Amino acid sequence: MPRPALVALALAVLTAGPPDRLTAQDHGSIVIVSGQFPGQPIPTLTRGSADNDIADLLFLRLARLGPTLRTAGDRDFVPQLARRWERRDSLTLVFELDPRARWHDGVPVTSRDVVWSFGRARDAAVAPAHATALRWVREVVADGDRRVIIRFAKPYPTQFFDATWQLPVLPAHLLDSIPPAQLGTSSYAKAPIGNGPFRYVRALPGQLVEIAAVTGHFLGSPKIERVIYRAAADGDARINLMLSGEGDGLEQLSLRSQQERFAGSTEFRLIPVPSFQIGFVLFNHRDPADRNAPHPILADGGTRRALVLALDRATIVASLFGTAAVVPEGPASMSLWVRTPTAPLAGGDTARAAALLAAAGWTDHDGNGVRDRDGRPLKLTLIFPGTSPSRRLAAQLVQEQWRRVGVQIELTPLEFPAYIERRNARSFDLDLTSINQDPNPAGLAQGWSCGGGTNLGSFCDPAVDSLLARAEAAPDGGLALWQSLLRRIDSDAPAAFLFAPANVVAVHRRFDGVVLRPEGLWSGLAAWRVTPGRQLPRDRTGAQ
Amino acid sequence: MKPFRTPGARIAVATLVAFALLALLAPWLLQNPNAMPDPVGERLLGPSLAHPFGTDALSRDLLARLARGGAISLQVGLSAALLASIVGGSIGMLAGSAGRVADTLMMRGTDAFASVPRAFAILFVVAAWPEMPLWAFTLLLGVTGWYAVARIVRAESLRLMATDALTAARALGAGRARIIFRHLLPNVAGQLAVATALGVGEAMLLEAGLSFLGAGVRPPTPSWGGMIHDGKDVLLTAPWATLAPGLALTAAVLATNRIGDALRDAFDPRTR
Amino acid sequence: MTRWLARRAAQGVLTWAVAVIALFLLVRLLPGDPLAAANELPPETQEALRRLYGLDQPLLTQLGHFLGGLFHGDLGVSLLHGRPVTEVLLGHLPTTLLLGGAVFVADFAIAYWLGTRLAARAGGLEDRWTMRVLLTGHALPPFWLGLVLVWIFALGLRWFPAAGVSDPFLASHIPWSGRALDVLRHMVLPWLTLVLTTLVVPLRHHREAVLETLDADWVRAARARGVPESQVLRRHAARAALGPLVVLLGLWMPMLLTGAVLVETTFAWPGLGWLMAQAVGGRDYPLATGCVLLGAAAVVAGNLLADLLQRLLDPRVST
Repeated sequence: MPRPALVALALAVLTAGPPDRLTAQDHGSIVIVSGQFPGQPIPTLTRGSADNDIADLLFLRLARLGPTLRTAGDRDFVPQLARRWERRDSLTLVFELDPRARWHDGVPVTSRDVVWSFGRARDAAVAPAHATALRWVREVVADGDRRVIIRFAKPYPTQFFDATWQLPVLPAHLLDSIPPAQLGTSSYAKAPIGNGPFRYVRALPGQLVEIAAVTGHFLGSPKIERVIYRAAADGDARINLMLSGEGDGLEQLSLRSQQERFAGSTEFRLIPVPSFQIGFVLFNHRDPADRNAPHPILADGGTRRALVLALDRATIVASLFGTAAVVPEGPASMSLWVRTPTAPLAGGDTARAAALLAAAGWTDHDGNGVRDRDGRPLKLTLIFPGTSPSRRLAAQLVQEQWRRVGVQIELTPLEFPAYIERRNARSFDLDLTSINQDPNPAGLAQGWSCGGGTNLGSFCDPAVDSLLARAEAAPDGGLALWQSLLRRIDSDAPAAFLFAPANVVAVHRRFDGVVLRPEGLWSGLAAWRVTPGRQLPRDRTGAQ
Repeated sequence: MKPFRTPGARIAVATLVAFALLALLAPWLLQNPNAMPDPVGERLLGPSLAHPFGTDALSRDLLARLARGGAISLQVGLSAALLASIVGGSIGMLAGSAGRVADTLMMRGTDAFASVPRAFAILFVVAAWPEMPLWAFTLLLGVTGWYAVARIVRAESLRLMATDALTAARALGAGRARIIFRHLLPNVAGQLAVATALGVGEAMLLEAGLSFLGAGVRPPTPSWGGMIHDGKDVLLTAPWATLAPGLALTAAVLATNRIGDALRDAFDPRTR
Repeated sequence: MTRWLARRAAQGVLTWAVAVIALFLLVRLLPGDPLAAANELPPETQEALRRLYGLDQPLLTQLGHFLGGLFHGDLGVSLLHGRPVTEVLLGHLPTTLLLGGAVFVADFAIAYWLGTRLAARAGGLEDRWTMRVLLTGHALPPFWLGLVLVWIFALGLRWFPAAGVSDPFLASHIPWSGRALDVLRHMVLPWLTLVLTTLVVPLRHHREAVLETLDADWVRAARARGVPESQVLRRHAARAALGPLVVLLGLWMPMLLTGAVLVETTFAWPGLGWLMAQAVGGRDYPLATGCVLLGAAAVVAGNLLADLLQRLLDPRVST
């Protein structure tokens, strides 16, 4: 055979679609493309969002957050493993398990599992993060097979949230014999058995995890038979997998440049889902060179407010995210249930900013474009992780906007772990950071109270602390108090709160009944289905 | 000048000179490369009269950035590649001509150094020296890029040392310096020129990749590699953002390659 | 020869051991630690996690543990994956070797054949344009070429998959040949990207070496004796010019394992280069150490191989 013909044949063979696919009359399948590989989708072992995504489908909690995302009280929660509950007194909750709940191996879910799971999670040596979250739980006891009594050490409005949200229930009958330290390398970890609407099928390390619908699940059988969770670390690779027809769902497309890649495609819908993310420039109130001294520039409230006013945050948001983000008032993401409706002065006010700076003594005496005071230029360094596309762009935008009012910013991009180290050492003037908030507004204390563990800017306002304490203890949930807290923080200007983005998710148009939840994006997958008649070949391939 | 008689070599030199001149004159000829006229409305504009190469994701003029970026990219690329060739060439020729013990020590040392991934070594130094100036960074790129050159040059030197010509020269009492400069260098000059030309583009791209990790130039200062990396996110939706710096970088690499060839020919009159 | 090989291998092991200890320390001295991702947790929780991972122990104690484990083939447990490092490494090794091996073979076969051919036509149209095209490929970052190839062949024509190693929907009962074909389909674009961006290095060095030998006295003598030019080229000059190619062959060994980070990322190819970048970026000390340990072994082994080949080619050379 002549060489060109051979090449043509080889091409034809290689480019032909994979042959021989199973056909069955199943309902459908979905390929979720993700940045991480879920290597440990087991509660207490999870190490990232991918692990949590799969764990949410394999394991149920006693109850889950309702659509309002309200964490106070129990009014808005939806039953899961517990079919009902009651409050005995201000310190005691009683849950009654659904008798139909089964582990994937057929064994019923009992109160023993719940008690065992809490015991494991509250052991600080095994699960430090859970132990911290559950620190106010005093004891968990079984009352027969179906009832669990949870007692708290003090009365507070989010007891129910802690008892349910913080911990999916693990199978005591399978894990009791495995020492906690060996759980991660045990055979159970290779094929976890849960109680959720999907069961574990297989994993190809670094590539994908496959889970399948549990038929006859007590909360209803999922109509999506088969879920493939594919990992691709690179953002472009993920979008490519979607546009080449190999993927059905992809999250984290908040940036305009990412959404623009879907512009020519008719196969996908872009759905903005409120997220718990918030991005801001944190001001250090202490001198990075001497943590006991106030910051020579930023300790002054007027200067901080001037810096915030000098920013046109609306433009920053529009340039980076288009319509997929808002300017927040105070540290409130789009999903925080106590957020305020709008932020004042998102467009900035450079005239007022200039006046405030001049009032603080900062004027451009030498005419070099940079304000100075007593011979010291108004110069600050801003640290950020250089590999984050959104923050790389945002950093250059704030630098340019501050330059226009005579503030010189030196940008210091850092490798991610090095950035975290600098941040934790509080060795920065300005820190362009982005965090995922706790759904519970009580989490705000960590970052913004005087003694908060992650209050890296050393911000301290006694009024904020007292509002925090009152809001946390308010029996009605304290919405009004939380909102005045947010306004108070905003006016203190401990940071320039830049953006609260939505999590933009691309979903293939053939899906119907699409539910995407801020607190666990894919956890509503059991309700999805493929519109009849719109099945793709892969929808008809049965689970293995 | 003798090596630059051919038109190809002249064009190559002219290209590099043009880039350098453009970078020098840009402040007078072109707009501010960091100015953002309208980061919402003039974001990612295609090429037009106002912006011959279009604008980037922050509405900055790509022509102005390209012109300015050349200064840094050429400086880093050429110096780092030259340095790597000089260090690698010296070590290679010394190891190849110094006898077994010295050779073993030098080559095992090279192996040990080469075992440390380059990006890794750079991360480490950058962490230890956070405000590293550009010249130090260029030096760092150079001294982490010489292993391959050293190996190739050493192998050639060993081969040459075993030839009759060199055995004779040594028998006649030729010193180390004479052996290296009269006999080895002319014969490895071609390989050195090749390695240098290949190293230029690598260093330019590495500079950009590492600037994301805190090394190299800081944003918003433009460099070609940095522009290519920044344009990655919009590569398929706004191809002009990477195309212009990509072409400039390629032109610089091709020019260095051509100049390397010309210099090699001048050095070793036997070739062709 | 055997004595030389034994001595040289012993040196290699010693070099490797020194490199491994240096790398172990270097990995841990990089700024930041594995808890970077746990940044939003309260400090006391982070302390507890640090104790859990054994990061609170002195560096030398950790080194002792590591060396002790190394003798039993135990590299510890990956902090990111929660699985033994050896298991994670072995899981990624096949994909790495497959892609790296295919690129390796293509690079050197083409470099030898085409480099010889172009040397004979040096300065001609074919030579000039091949060099320009391949130098351009080398000058551009691999992700650029990779994305363009994906855009044409995966998103536009849909001939090849955009990323990954295998089709997740391939039924379990199909024969191995079908699976192999599926993996090959996934490999085409990353392979092409890598070959187009790396080929010029061995090609250019080999072309240069052939050019040098074409001018050597003994080649001129052969020509003068009336040996046909094609034979002069293929039999004499090309073989005598193998030196740089052999050295590069040795230098390419580590690239086989960890060199293709950017391409592996663009194509979501789960290889060791990507794994190492991930381990270093996440400060997964045990896994990063495991990766660099393999990389260092490849450096040492590659250079040993190069020296060995060089001796076989030219017995007069003493190394």
